Amino acid sequence: MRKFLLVSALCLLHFSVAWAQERSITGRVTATEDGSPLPGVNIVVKGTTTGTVSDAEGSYRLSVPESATTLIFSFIGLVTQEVEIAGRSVIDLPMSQDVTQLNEVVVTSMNIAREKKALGYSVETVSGNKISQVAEPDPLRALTGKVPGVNIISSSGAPGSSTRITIRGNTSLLNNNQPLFVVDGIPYNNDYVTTEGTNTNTGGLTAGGAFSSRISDLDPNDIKSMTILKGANAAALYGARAANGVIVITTKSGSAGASKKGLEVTYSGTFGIEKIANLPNFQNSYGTGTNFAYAQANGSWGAPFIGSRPYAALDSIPHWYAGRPGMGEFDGVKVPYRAYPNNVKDFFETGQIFENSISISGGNEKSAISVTLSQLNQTGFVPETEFKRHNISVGGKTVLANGLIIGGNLAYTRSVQRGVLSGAPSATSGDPSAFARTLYFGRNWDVQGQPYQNPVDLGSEFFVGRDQVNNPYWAVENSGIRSTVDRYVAAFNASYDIKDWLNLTYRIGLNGYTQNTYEFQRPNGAGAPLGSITQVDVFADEINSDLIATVTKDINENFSLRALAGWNVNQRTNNTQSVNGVGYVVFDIDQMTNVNAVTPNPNSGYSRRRLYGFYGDINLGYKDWAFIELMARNDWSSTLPVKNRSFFYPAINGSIMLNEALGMQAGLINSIKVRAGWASVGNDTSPYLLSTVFVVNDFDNVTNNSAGRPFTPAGGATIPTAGQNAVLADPNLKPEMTTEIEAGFDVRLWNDRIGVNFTYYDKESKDQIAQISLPEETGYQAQLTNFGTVSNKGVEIGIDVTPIKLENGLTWTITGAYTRNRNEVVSLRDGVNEIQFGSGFGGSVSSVHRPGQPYGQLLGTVDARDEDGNLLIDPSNGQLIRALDPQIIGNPNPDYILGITNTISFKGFTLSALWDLRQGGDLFSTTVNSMLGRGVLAYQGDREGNAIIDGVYGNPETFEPYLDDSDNVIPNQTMIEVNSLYFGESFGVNSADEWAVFDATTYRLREASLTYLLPKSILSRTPFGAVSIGVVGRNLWNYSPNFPKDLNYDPETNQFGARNVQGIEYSTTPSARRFSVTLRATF
Amino acid sequence: MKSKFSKILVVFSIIGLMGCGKDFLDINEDPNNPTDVSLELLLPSVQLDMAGAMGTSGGGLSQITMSYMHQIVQRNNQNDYGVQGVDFGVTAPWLTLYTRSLADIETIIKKSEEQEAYPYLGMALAMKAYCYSILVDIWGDVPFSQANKAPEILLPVYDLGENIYPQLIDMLDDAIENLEKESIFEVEEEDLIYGGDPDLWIQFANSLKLKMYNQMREVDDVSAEVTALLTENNFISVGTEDFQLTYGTSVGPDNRNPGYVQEWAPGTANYYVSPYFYEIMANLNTFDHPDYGGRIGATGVSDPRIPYYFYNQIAEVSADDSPENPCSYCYGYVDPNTDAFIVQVPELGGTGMVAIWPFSLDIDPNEGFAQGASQTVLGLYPLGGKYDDGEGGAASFDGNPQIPQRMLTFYSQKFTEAELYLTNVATGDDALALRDGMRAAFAKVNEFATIAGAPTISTATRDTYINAVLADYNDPATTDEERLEHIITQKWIASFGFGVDAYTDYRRTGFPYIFDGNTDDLNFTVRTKEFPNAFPWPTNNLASNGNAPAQKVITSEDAKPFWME
Repeated sequence: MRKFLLVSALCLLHFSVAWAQERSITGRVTATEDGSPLPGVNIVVKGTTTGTVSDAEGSYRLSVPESATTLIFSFIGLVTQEVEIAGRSVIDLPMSQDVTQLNEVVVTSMNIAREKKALGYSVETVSGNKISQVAEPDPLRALTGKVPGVNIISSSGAPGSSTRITIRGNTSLLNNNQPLFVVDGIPYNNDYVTTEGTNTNTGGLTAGGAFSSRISDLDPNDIKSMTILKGANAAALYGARAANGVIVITTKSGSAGASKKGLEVTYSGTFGIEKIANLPNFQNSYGTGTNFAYAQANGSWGAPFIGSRPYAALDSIPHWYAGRPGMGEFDGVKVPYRAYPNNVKDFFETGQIFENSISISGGNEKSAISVTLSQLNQTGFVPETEFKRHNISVGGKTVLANGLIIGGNLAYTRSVQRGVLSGAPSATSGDPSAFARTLYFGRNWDVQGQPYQNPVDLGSEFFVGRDQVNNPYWAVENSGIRSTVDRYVAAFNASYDIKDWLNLTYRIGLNGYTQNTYEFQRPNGAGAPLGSITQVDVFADEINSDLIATVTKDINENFSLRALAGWNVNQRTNNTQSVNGVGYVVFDIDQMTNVNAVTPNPNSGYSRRRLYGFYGDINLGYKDWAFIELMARNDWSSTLPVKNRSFFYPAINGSIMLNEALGMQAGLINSIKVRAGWASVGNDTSPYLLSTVFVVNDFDNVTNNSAGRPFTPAGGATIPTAGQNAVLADPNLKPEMTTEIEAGFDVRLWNDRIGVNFTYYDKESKDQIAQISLPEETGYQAQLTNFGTVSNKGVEIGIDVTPIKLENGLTWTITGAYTRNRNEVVSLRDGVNEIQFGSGFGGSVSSVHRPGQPYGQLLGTVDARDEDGNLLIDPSNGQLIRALDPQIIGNPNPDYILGITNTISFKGFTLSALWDLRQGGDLFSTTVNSMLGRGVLAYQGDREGNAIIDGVYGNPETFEPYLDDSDNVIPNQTMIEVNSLYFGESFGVNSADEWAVFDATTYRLREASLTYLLPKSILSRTPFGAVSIGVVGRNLWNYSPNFPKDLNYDPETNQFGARNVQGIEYSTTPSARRFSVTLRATF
Repeated sequence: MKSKFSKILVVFSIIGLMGCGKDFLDINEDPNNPTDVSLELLLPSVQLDMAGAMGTSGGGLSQITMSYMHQIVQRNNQNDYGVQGVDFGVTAPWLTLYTRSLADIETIIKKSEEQEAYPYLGMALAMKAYCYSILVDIWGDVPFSQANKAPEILLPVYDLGENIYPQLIDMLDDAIENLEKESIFEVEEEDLIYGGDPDLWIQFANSLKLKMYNQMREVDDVSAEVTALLTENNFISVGTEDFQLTYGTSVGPDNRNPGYVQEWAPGTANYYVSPYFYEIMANLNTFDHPDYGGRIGATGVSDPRIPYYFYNQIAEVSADDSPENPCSYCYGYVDPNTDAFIVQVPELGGTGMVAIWPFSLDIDPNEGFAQGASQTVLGLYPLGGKYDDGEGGAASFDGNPQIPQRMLTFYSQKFTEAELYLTNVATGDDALALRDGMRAAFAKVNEFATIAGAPTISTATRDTYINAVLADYNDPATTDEERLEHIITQKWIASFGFGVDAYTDYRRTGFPYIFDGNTDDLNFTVRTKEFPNAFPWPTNNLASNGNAPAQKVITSEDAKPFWME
């Protein structure tokens, strides 16, 4: 980190030196930690402008007037020290790092390094080490719990599966809500490509593969730092896409700089294992069936096993495969009727992570080069799942003789993902998911001991018929998803100081990928009896250039100016081609050449968009303690109508260092910064949305009731068709606008032992460009137009405390990150009370926006209640009564997120643990629903009795409670079997959706690590500069108090991956627990 | 030094502004999709969507209506008349009709008026009238006058069904007028229903008018109009002229009958055969209740259409070949707990019929079990399955996927005529029309049997059945009410595979007698809900349309379509 600061400081600091030759002081400035020299330290005589800077060896020589008594040593990122001269002529000074983050330099908009105190908005930086240390192949997940204001949720525990990140809530009703990623100044595409196409933010699902999102192409080992620009203010200069915040990533290769050693090599190697994080506690007393009688069923409600109950008598059952075609050897065979307690556990494997990375950097003052080579090989805990990533990054820069600095970098990444089909509504038939029954196997199923493949047709054989689900062993082997991505980044930059106060920089970069993805199901399985393949090929690239002029000038003693003007040109191209193949010819060739019929997929197409913009930024500083910044940008976008093509958006922010302004003495209070800002960000839309189109040979599989196109009648010629698209276009679209106010303070107390950052923000997005549902009787399902307002208000608090800091080096620090966001869909359009999106997958639950309510509520079926909220009970069967209309059954948005990291370091050892709490937020879970309904949980082993559902008798026709003679409701007294609590109109399978919704509050030990930095004394006789070894555990423990007991369920999951649909889970892959060892060495 | 500055400055400026020519931003024309297409591309799309919306797949109107009419049983809400406005069977047909069929019909009407393409205009008007007549029949009040007028009207009002119907009659007259006009436009095979023959379209329009008048007869005096139509006598007059869409056999793109695709994938059938429907056709009465089956029980003859209607995956249920799990409606099963063969419904003998009871959701002790490999599935006639030759064998996409989706047929024309004669709306021989209707219904079965290469029903076998029905019909002791029951019951049986009109007929006439879970002798069939007078409106459309009415209680008086008394 310090090296980075030094380099940044050299470009940043400008000061004048006055020479008053009286007497001379020399010395050397070194780092407290390792005694290395500190170049660039600013040394001034207190009360004067007389000063100098330490050289590359940390040495300095300064002439001071006789009257001088004190020297001030300062450097960004280090604790400023005042040293009494006291007649000395040699003053050597060890300087230590300043934990006061305020003085740190951060990389902000347009890759410009800035002093944090000059920023009127909240910015968070996470160093690359923190990201690569935690054995988390996904760089985003490594941020979880560490940054206030950021909400990160992973889709599943499958290797490579996507991660969703939102900053300060969801702003866009139906479009992208994820931040813009900028890597080394070039936007980095984070598309989420599934076999349905690209970025279908509102769509449903196909067979539910856990696809990756494209930020996973980024090599964590090459990341130098990540800066999170949370607000619209921080992001104003990045233009339209920054409305959701920006994550600015600086890579090692993209920021090659001179090393003090000339050549530095860093090796990092990780070996890790991963297992399924949690398994339910199962009952092993009853096998499949109903009403205490055995049957070949899904639910374990059948006869008790011998020994588990005194009356148990059944000791053998017909073989599950008896009578099946091709499985004649099982006809008439009997098998023991007993529990297989580990049949779920044994399905899961131990996954492995191997990661190796080597970084080489070197150079001199003129030229520098940096190379990172990495490979990652991850196998998941689910059989046949895998994620591989290979990365080569090269970057360099040089200063030409004429003073022109040119640099460039190239990065190539190949990511390969293998996954299984996961997630499915377990209640419907024909389910190809590998998890369709896996977490709730019948307790008497000998899953591991029986064949899973039919020897004749090679199809799936399972304990219940092929019509329902696949054997998971067959499913992982004979169906799944495959994805190969080639990512390439190339960038060039040039910089020139025309005057010492005027710099011109140009940067152009290409960031592109090609992705080949397919999802396949071999024939004779549950989902696609004929066999099917869906293939998607994506070619996407983005070219971005910026020309920036920067002015840095101290106007006079009191005022400093920093200003820039820029010109940005951006072009994005996407070509997605997708086809479906039906009907395998040979069983195990997963290629389009091996199918009987191939049809194009409607998601195919080519698109290109362009944008250019002018932007400016003026930052005025007063006496180094007051700052005000004005920003503005005007964009012209190809995607908007010509008359609305140009749009302008300004921003303003300011900050004051109160302690300096008020001349407070350093003491209890080290620093107080107050900041505030207002910003607006405009946004364009996707290409080709201005006219309503027809779709040629369209087969709308949403309606699921029409024959495909083109149409060939029996015995006739092929007839092409076309039909109107379901989305009505608006030729008069105008740009959408987000405005945000934020205010906050940063306080450091008690000798920097306590620090608090507080930010309040209020963000409003209006005139959103999105598809608003039209009543279908208009002829369209939706109109793409400007409408609606979404508000997000929230509080972010960051705290760091150092309770113990002893002379012997023992340090204990606590850092906390608190995120609380309240969002509200303020309005839609007059006459529109609701927008539904993201239903599908056969489930009746969908996400809806309703005015006055939070974003993306869950809408689903409910049971009827009386006015007092008592459940109505049908007297004829003692069960619940389904209400007519669906209602809001859950809010997936968490109340708040809290992450607390405790770090204790002592003599090279560092022990760290991150606890987090996600309070509130609802999850609709079919996994939970199915486990209850299938009767497999340990507590459900206690079932020999009856139950009465708490409620009052009601009329299933009128939904009114029955009243007794004195007009009182009549409490339910109808006894039902315990079984019936979980099946039918009660609380398990087939019940109303509301009973599958749970509060997802989760306490979690997200990561714990112990690292040891070998002492210099040991290394001094080796070629190594530094060696550290670390042990990391991730997702070690979690507890969700509001889920039924024995489930041990981890609700941190989301079926819809990186999409806006949140809080819905259909038997997806469970989460992983991981342990790893990392060795890091520099030499 | 100075020149070096400017050189660099110039280079920066040039590359910075590179590529920003005058047309730099003018690239927003959609290269992927057309903004205008020809009539011949739109017409087949309209027809495929319309047939799908009427059909037997989960997203077709026949799904729920066949369930309501106790032809099929499903393990879900509609098993107990419990349909909601979020159910797929409600939302999907509405979506398909309004955003696909009717949207494209409006485009055809607009374009063909401009281009004077009269045949297209006539067909589009006829189909529009047909679609709206079904919308009114199913939902009662629906958007009509302001529908399909976006972007001008984004929140269409709902019109009263009684106001819509007369406009549809006018629309059909308009359609006929255009179909009679000379035009340079020739419609051929892109008309998937009639191959472009305007005469057949005119016949269809007349038959549709007669059907609509018949449905209005209880609330309107339609004698004059009906008599005029009958006098003109230009109706669908043979089964090959039926308003139906014949599917294809291609699987990619999937051109097969959508009901077949859903029900004949190996072991994944959603529909069970209703035991009630089966028992009426098989002339059984295991419920031991005299009312069941109504007049049809009096004929005492088993229906020869059974093997064309239902397909038994197990040839004969026996101790050696029983369903994979305990079943609720079958001859018997082997109990895995005791290995004993448990006889369940002795009257079924050894037939392979395996089904479940209606009104038994969550009550029937055996209902939770998979019967995918053993259940009886819908056969050749309703959705293109296989003729049941009695040999058994698992359903596995080995049927006849091209079998048409029927919408308006010759047999229903005849049954409608019989009803009009019987009720004295017009003068004619009701018994003869009933006979012709039944003959047409058998002919339809034989037509499909021929496509499938299956044996056909002989005239003698057919007549044995028809004569038994007619004997009771013509019996002087039989009342007119009972005669109407015969007509509607025969129409109901013939309608298997298209449930929409049967649901309408039942609500109009109260026939056929349908199953009641509360009055049979089965303790695990409990009906808790009343019969719905209409479908609920799709909930999502009510929410997005400020001009939509509040959701109706589907069992209430208000929910009744205008033609219900």
